[in-house]
Amino acid sequence: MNQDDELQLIQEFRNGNEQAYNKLVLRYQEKIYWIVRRMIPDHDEADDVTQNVFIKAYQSLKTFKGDSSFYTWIYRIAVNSSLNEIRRKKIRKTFSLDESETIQLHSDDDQPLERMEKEERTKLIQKAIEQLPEKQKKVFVLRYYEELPYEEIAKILKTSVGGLKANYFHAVKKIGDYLKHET
Amino acid sequence: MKHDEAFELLIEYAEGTLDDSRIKEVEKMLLEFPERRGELELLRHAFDELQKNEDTDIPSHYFTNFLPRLQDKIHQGTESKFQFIPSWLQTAIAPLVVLCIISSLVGLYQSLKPDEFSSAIYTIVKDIDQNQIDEATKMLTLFDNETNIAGAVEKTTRTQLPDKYLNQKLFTKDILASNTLDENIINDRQILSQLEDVDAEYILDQLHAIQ
Repeated sequence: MNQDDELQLIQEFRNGNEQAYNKLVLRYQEKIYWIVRRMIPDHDEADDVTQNVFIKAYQSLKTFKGDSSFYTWIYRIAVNSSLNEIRRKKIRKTFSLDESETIQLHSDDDQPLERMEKEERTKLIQKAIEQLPEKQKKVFVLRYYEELPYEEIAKILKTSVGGLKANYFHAVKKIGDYLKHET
Repeated sequence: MKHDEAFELLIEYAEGTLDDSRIKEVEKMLLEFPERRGELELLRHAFDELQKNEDTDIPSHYFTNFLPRLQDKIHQGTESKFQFIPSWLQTAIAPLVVLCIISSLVGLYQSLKPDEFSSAIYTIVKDIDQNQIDEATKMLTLFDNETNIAGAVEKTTRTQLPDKYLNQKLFTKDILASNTLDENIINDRQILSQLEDVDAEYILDQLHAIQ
């Protein structure tokens, strides 16, 4: 599906064809989920945010001007929604409104060592990404995990390519530093 | 070399995606700026750890079920509470509802708007029975004929008239025959509003007695 096909689907959706929107969802659901999940490690929370991204898109698509491509537009919604959720969680945590740290009880006896190590490593990397400043976090996720070219990231985040390269460099360096001291 | 270019080269060098000519360029830079070596070491460590880490697990069938769950959520949010009313009827009712709201607000405003003549005296006066008004009118005529002051005397004179002439009834008549075009009535209203409390109470008592 290319950009013209997407514009066609958007037009069909505007004319009342819900199936057209469903095709866009099917095309982007995994990408959007993973962008969100890289920033919000908890699956259930990431799922909520991902659904909200598509609901926002559903509600706003009728006013989508087409100044940027659909994927730039929806990636932007995903990145901003994730950061809003992170901010909201930080505020709730500050005022102790919820227990964000889920206590998971594992029976170590029936869990292979390898799996435990993998889980530990995953958590550590999630923490390393979490400690990044917002801008670096966005750039890192879009560049490393989504493998987007800087030019595309610049469109999504509405910033300069030069600044993005610096952000990405510092993000990776900070992750390396964090992991070095924590392992 | 610009900073952002150096950053990009170091990143690609750490990832191992640079071609030979660019590799030499980076190695030259590392010789010139030894502090970059520490940065390069951190970049490599980050990429090594990231590559070891596979994708996080997600529940099976998550993406298969995503769209149906999304559709449910979208339609829950867009369902109208008044969906049992046909849409054409909703369209027709909407302006009426708006009109009712506006009318209610106007009515509320009118009821709350201070009445220029809403004093206790006026309230009692305006509720006086029509027969009493007729009686007052006759007495006024009689009084005016006897004293020959009809329409020619300062209205304040009337407030000073003896009780036997029931001057309060004169007010009654004039006020109830309110007509803003009638200068005399306006004058009477002004007199009424300027009464001292004692006088007002006196008239009030008299009015109660009449009723």
